[in-house]
Amino acid sequence: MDRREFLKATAASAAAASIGVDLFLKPSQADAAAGISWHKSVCRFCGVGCGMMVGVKDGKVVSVKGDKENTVNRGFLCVKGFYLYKVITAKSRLLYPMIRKNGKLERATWDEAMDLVAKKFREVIDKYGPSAVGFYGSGQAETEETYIANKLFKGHIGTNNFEGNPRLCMASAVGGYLTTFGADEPVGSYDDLDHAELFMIVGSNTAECHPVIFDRIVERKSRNPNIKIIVIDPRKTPTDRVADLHIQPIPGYDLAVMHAIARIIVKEGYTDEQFIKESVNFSDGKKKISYEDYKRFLEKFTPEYAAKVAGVNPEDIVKAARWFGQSPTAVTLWTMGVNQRTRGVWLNNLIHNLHLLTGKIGKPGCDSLSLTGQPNACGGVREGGGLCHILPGHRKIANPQHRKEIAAIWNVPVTNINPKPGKHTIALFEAVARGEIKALYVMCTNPAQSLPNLNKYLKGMKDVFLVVADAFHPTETTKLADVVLPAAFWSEKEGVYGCTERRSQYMPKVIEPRGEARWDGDILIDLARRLGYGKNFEHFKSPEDVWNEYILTTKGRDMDLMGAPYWRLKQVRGLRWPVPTTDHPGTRHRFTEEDPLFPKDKAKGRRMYFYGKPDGRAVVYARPAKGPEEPTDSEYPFALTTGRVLEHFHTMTMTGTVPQLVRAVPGPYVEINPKDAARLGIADKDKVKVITRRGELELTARVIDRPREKTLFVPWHWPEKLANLLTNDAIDPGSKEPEYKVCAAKVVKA
Amino acid sequence: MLISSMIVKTRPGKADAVLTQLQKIPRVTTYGVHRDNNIIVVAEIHDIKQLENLTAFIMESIDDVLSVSPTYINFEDEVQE
Amino acid sequence: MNGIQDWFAILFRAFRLHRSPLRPPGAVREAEFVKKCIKCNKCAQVCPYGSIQMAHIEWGDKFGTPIIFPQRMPCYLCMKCPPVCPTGALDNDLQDKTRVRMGVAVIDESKCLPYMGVICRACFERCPMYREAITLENEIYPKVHADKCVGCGVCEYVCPAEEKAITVKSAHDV
Repeated sequence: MDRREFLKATAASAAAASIGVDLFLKPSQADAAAGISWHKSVCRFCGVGCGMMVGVKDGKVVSVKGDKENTVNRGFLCVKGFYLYKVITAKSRLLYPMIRKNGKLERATWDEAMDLVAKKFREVIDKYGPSAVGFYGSGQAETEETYIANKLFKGHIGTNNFEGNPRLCMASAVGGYLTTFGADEPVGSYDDLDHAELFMIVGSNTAECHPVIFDRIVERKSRNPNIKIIVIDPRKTPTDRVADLHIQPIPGYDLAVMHAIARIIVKEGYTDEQFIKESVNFSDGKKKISYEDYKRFLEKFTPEYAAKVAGVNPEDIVKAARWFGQSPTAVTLWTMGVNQRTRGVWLNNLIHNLHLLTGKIGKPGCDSLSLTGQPNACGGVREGGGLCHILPGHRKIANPQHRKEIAAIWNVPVTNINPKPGKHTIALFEAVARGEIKALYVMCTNPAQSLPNLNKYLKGMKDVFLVVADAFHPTETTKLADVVLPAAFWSEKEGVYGCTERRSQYMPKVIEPRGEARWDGDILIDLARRLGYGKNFEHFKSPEDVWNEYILTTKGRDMDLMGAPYWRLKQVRGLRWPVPTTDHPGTRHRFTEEDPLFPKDKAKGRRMYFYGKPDGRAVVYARPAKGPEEPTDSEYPFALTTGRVLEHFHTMTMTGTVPQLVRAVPGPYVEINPKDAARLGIADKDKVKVITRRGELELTARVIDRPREKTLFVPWHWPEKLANLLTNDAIDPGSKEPEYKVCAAKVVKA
Repeated sequence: MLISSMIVKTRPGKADAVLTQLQKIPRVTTYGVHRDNNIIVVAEIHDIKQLENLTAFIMESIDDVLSVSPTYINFEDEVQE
Repeated sequence: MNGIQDWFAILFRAFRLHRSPLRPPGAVREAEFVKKCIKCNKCAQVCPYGSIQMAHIEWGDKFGTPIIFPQRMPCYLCMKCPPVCPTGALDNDLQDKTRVRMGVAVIDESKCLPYMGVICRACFERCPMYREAITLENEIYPKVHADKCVGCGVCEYVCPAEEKAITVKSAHDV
């Protein structure tokens, strides 16, 4: 067969497959003959971690398809992932380094650019000390990249002003898992989705933001109509289309609802008393309290009281509680509606409470599973220690033993690591705005669009010596940069992503980077060398070398990845830690007998032992039901919330380059409830101004019965209409995560 | 040159007659009748427009065709930018 | 049909089979419309989105009449054009957008992403007859309800498939 015959055979096989017929030729054989080779990889977008097959021909990515063998997505993709290959060749790809000269970014050589970066960083460090420089990374960077940056900044330069954008999305979930279970990241895994008989989805538009997970839920429900789905969200979204019950609280007032559900669960006897006796402590946040104290605390939260606070129907709360209590299994899912709040950690705790009280945790079909927004927020930043207070392998900077362990692996004196945690994201950018931080390295993220209350921070970012390593230009951030460095994109570099369910997955390099772009790890090693720290980075000849050093930091930790070297990750569809040895299959439920770290001796017959806590008991919290930082008032009567749409991701630097996706959502808009619109005389497609205490934005009105009354919703994707000029930068005192999801606003006709 | 495959569905019992007609169209190859009344067809075409024309033609001018569903198109030459 | 041996014949027929564009909302039946329309351009002038265009010379005797190509710019149903028509070629009294019948959207399942295992809800999400004209079967597969579809073409405009999987079949044989 010649090439044309093979192409035709491929086409015929595809047709045959669509009607379930196995034609003479296996597609893989046909692809090989047509010159297309397929490589197992992972999607670059959200935190679901969909397996993806990348089709390469003549050094170009020509197609992608869902990986049928990957148990995360079973061959499904969403429309973003389907077009991911088009992003590689986008016109906005940054192809060579640029340096700002006389206010304009001009093309430079790598040597010029890196010399300038090293010189400036060296100057600042020598003159003002290491704390005058900072690093701002990303939950989209590979674990290897974050690890190198961590080693350079914390271990060699000696600054803990090292943050990443997961502070803006996952920090409250981290706080929730740590305080409740004593260890970060979910207890269960996606496998529980296939066994759950009840789903509670809180503050999450799963259908648009985690479409493949939603698909799994829908599939489960369509096969088992008795399965119940409860959605708690101020907005009607495509997610609530499958809901049996939708509770629409006023944004920011759902803590009371969670307590009210807990109260009914306790009152009507849906609790697992044995489990509570063995594995649960109670706390008011400051000290241990008794089960009885907790019950007394709950007394106040009658359905009627909570319904009044949250503006919902008391019967719905009762119904939700009874369903949750009566269902043999339950999975709760949540995202930014819970995390991006000034009481995000508390709300996380209250979700975990329900699972602990009913014992619906650590068994098939039961989990409180925080969905993540970025592909490697869990892997690179939470596990890799990419924040100002943590070190790789779920370690804390403040812990001298932890510093010692990491300093040994980094081959530096322990004194190199500053014992004091650095500045969290908002504090970091406040310090930039005040001029305290003089040089900032931004990798793989776009803070000039994604920070809240942008007006406060933009000038500082313009003034600071700003280095941005990104695959795209211009972005809102590269526009302010002094040096921009072209970074290799997905498929142009190899590395590991860790998704929502503790699963680490390998991505191969299948093509060469465009233009002069380089792997971020390579750029950082270059910088280390130019700063005079080359010695401890020289052995990093490939990403695999970096990974091998990184997994050493996880050895014996709760997130043990010693059993996941590259050779194994290349064979399997990811591994869920703890996976201490290369013959270990990975862990579906932590803290249970299946977990290799489960201490049988201490557990003494208990079903679960939360080894992150000294006595192995998780904590149920009696947290006060506090409202949002900026409640609505007569001047600003609307609650403003922001979010995503299915077709776009974050600041659109990727999805904005695909014409098909750009057309699919015809531009920025604000959703207004029809009743509010009628009162204000606003018609669909009218130009309106959304105003908060921090800024204003002219948008097209989309009058639609989606947000509840007195609520506005603005997707935050479009750089020409920065939703974050409006949002509030008040932070959760525990997690330091800003309250993007609620602020007071008004809307007027423009 | 693009290569596209499609499934031509026919009325029950008419697949063989339709197959004979399809085989008369230039640059069209058939790959047999499957599942009673589905014919696998592969066509060599110049552009997408021609594919549309071809599917319309098959629908319109061959008796007993119920539907024409393109299933695959080899677009490798168009990947640039 | 016997022994068509050449692509030319295919192309010739295909030319005739070219899909009709849409007429603006409230257009009367095509035969009557052609008689009534005085090509005054008022409907196009009042259209805030530039959706309505005047037919070019290749449309023969329909040259100068208003047409809408949804892939260029669909109709957003602002209902500004029906009242301004001086001759009643557009029903002057039509204000209720749910009563508009410019055509009916048709989904080609062989091109539609969800039928290929790719999760997409673009047409469903942007449909102005939200949750009525297009619904999702099993929350995945879009279905058009012809009785509710006004034929505005927004779905066709936003469809992110390489080749449009949802297209509006005009109610008029333009």
